[in-house]
This record gives sequence, C-alpha cells and structure tokens, in this order.
Amino acid sequence: MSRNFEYAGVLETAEAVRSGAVTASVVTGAALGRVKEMDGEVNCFTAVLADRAHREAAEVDRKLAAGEDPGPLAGVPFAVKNLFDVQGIPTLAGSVIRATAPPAPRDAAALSAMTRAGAVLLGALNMDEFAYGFTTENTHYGATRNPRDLTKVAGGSSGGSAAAVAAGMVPFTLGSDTNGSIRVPASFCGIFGLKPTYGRVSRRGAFLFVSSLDHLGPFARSAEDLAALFDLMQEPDPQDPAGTRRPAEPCAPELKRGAEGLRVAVAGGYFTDQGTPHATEAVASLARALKADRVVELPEVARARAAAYLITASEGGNHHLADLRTRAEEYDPNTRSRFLAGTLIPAAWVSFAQRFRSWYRDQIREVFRDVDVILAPATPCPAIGIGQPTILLKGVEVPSRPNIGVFTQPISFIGLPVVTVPVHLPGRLPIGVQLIGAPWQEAKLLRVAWELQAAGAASAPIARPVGAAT
Amino acid sequence: MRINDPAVIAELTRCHEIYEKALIENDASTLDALFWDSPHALRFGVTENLHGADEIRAFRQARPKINLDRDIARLDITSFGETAGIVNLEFVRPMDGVERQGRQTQFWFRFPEGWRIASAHVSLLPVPQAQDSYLRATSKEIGLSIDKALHISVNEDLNRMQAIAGFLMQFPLSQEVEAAPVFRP
Repeated sequence: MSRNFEYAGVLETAEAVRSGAVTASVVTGAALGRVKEMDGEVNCFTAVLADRAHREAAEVDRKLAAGEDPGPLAGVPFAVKNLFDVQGIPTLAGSVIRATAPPAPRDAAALSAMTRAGAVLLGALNMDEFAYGFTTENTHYGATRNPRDLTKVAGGSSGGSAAAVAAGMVPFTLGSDTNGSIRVPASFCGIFGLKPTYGRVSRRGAFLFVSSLDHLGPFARSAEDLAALFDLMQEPDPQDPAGTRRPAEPCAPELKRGAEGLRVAVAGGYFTDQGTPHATEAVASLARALKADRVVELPEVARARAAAYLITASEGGNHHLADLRTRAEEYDPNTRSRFLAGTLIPAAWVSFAQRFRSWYRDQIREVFRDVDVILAPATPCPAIGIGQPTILLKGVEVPSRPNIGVFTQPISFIGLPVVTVPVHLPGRLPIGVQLIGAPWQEAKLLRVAWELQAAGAASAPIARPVGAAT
Repeated sequence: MRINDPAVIAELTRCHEIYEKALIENDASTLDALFWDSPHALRFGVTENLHGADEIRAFRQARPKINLDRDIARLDITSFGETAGIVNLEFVRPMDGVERQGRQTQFWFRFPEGWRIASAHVSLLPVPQAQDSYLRATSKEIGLSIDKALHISVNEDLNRMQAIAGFLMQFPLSQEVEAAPVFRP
C-alpha cells in the first residue's frame, strides 16, 4: 500500500476510502490489528466484533464498487462505550449484572447514525460500572490504562472510549457524560471530546445513569472530526423524552470562521481557586492564544455541584432499585454503597436541587448575554495514578475520586454544551480545557477549538503509535 | 521507682517505632519477635482473642497481606521503673472506604532478652450510629434489604450526602422558582 492510513483521522480516512485510495476492508483489518496489538496493555475493549466489522466494511466496499454513496464516514472504524446498545450483545454498562441481560435487539440511535453514514463498528468499550465514577477502575473488567502513561488512569466514566482514540486504535468513539464522563477522560487522555447541549443527541438505546443529566457525545483527535461526527448525531428524536425538537444546526460549515467575532472569557473564582497550577497554566495558554483577557464569575458554582451530586445519587439509585433489592452483592464495590445510599435520600433534598437547577440556569443565561465562550479547566490535575486515593489541591490532600469532577459537574448540571480541548505543555501529561457555551451553541465552541488547533495551542497526537504497517 | 525516665521512654519509643513499621509492612517475623514468647502472652484484636504466643503467631501467619497502613492520631508512652511500660495509641485507618478510629494498648516488659509485649488490646470506636435508624426505616419502606455489612459504608455515604445537601439548602431559594422537569404532556 502506497499510503499508510492506519493513524489517519475520521475525515482523512473517509476521504481515502471514498476516493478509492484504500478499501474499507483494509482499513478495518488494520484497525482490528491495532486493537489486538495494544489492547492487552490498555484494556479498552470489553467486546471486539470482528465479524460484524468485516461485514460492514465489505458493504461499504460493495457500495463504492457499485457506484453508490457509502456515506460521509465511509469505512471509518469506531467503537462505543459499552452502555450503548449494540445489536446482538448484552449492554453491560460496565456491570456483571447485565452480562446475562438479553442481547440488544438493535443498535442505539447515536450508534446507528454513525453506521448509516458508513462507519464500521469494531466493538464495545470499558467504563466505570453504570457510569458512576471518574477513573474507569472497573472491578469486574479491570482498569483501563492511560495510553500516555500506563501507570495512570484513563479517566472516566468513558475511559475506554478516550483511551482507544488516544492510542490510535480508532479515529473516533462515542461516550456519555452525566457529570463529566466525556470531559474527564478526554482531559486525562489528551484528546478532543464533545458533550453536546442536553437533549441535542438522542439517548435512545443507551443504558442511562441519570436521565436528568445524561448526554451522549463523540471523542476524536481534531476539531474537524468532532464537528463532522456531531453533525451526524444531531437527529431530533421524539423517542428520547429529553430530546429537543430543534432542527439540526450543522457546525462543520462554520468551523473555519475560527474565533473571529466571538467573545471569549476565562472562568474565575471557583474555577481558578481549586485546580493545580498545571490546570491554571493550561487555561492561561489557551486564553493567550485567543487574546482573551476577560474573566467572568459564575455564581454559586459550588452549590450547583452539590445539587448535581444529589440528583445523581437519587435518580441513579432509584434507577437501580430493583437490582439493588435482589443482587446488591453483584455491584462493583466502587459504586454499591453510593447507589444504596442514593435510594434512601429525602425527597426534600432532591426537589430543592431540581428547583435550584432552574435558578442557576437563569443566572448563567445572564452571563452568556455578553460572552460566547467560557474557558475553564476540565480537571483539576492531569491523569492520576491507578489506585491513587488522594490528590493534592492547593496544598490540601483530598480524596481523588470525588474531586476529579469538580469543574465538570456544575456545567453539565444545566446541560451546557462543552468541547474539551487537549493542552500538551512540554514534558508533562496532557490536560483538558473546557470551552463552555450557551445552549445550542456547539458551533461556536467548535470554531474556537479549530482556531486553537490551527494555532498549535491544542492538539491530540496519538499516544503510542506502534507497529504501523507500511 | 522512677516514672517516665527519659532513657526508658526513649527505648520504648524505639520499640514502638519498630513494631509500627513491621505492622504496616506486614512483617510477621518482627511482630512475633516483639511479643513475649510465652503461653501467658495475650493479644485481644478487633475481631479475635488470642491466648499464648502460639495463637498469636498462628493468627499473624494466616492474616492476608492487606493494607494495614494507619495514621497515628495520638501516642502516649508511660514507663514504670526500668522494666515496665505502657504504649497507648489512637489511630485512624480507612476500612471498607470508611475512616475508622481505633485504639491500641500494649504492656511492654523488659525481659533478659529485651523489651517484649506481654499483653495488647486493639479496638475500634463504633461508627456514629445516628443515621442507622434512618437507613433501617427508609430502606424498609422501599422494600430494600441492605446487608448489615454494608451499613457502615452506606451510612458514610448518607452522611456525605447530608453534608452536601445542608450546604445546598442554605441557599435562599425563592418559593417562586419552579423545577424544570423533562416531562412533557
């Protein structure tokens, strides 16, 4: 083969397949080879569906040979967090409880939007059990390791999704984000991730965690790829009770306008007081690249996080009540007591939290009257060690697990769209910065992400390209 | 007889340090060597009563190599003459994800072969049970039977949630503010 497409991005791969430079079958075979080669170490995949992948790739190649349009993602390999329904296998959602569930009758809506566009599904990816965690240290299926440093966690709960993209196994994956589960692993693995506006992407066929707060979205290694994927995922779906009726608002055509004319500010107060200097430096480096010198203060952010925590505990616990009654012992010890406690909390707390959510949304709407994009760290620190119980924030040792989401929880709480962009400061592990926008303004965020990438301030190089065939 | 002779206290402090290091590192042979090798030696653990050096040794051999790391919150050493002393310490140790407070009392005696522990007692303070009645009552109301072994960690999570809710609900939220549920008729 004259050109190696093994580590190409989404659009580059699709273009190569569509133009006939390479077949979907060759691309798929190479991707399955990378998974086989690397996944023993990284531990992303809980299911590899080689037969299905070969079949889907052959269908793309057949269409091309027959002169039919195979779609904008023709032959692009991908994988999904294992809470997405994948036809023919049980939807684990990181648990053993669901390992004996009946096989899913059909693919999840967001997944089938990808395969209808010609993408080729390779398999399902590891996560924290039932998405209740920020590290993907899953007791049943093992920890997913960070391909940039195998002694570190990949972040969670969509850890398998982020690590597979960072390692170059696939050019994109899908994940979910309730309190930070796309943004945290994107930060730790040093790649791009998009958590769309709440209601924008249909969650039909995904095993939900907290319906009030759940979002689905893509991971990739460039802003262009992220925009192309998101545009394909924007399908109004009346079967998702939270689904929007707004028509799709394509972002890809807007991308190259960059940050021109956009008002960008850095989140102050809460968001600068708690992170490590590394997180603050990453935000500052992007602010410099964008010449953004404004600082905005969001009100009552700590309480927003508190309210998100309570809604999560209560809804999550209630969602699992039937299984907690009969088979609590099969839950991951990392999630079990929180699910049990969540079933018992007083209604007064949760009702208050839901009403507070309205108040907070209205306050943040005001903030967005004179700013378009707000920069904030995605995580307080870069990837932590596997099994690391505490992190040092402002000289104080705090438990790591609950504090990793300190900057993400208050944002998803009111469903704001966020693009996490990776910042690689020299000689250090990457860390992500959130580009936060007003509802439905994903295009503005992706424009800024594109500008940062063009300026070299944000990038997502492949972590460990090994064994590249030529 | 001199109480708290600095030289004796220094010796007992050294003995305590060696014992603590061996405990954290699960160094059973050092721990055994520091106990009086006698049928009269005695060790009351958190979950076991051991009479005689043989029982103590057997227990240590069977003990899994778990993380025994603990933080010492307070250490009191008292000596009586040149041959007897008591080491009392209060410690904090996470168990099943819950921070537990414990106490340890050791009676040390200087035999011809050196200082040895003749008797020891370890115990944990009970987890505050204020919420256990809440856990029992609410779980019963929703038909959820929670394994007793999990009560400590579930109560701990409830305590954390209570603290978080307390902070949230200090906010003077107007009665006018309505929630925005996703339900659409």
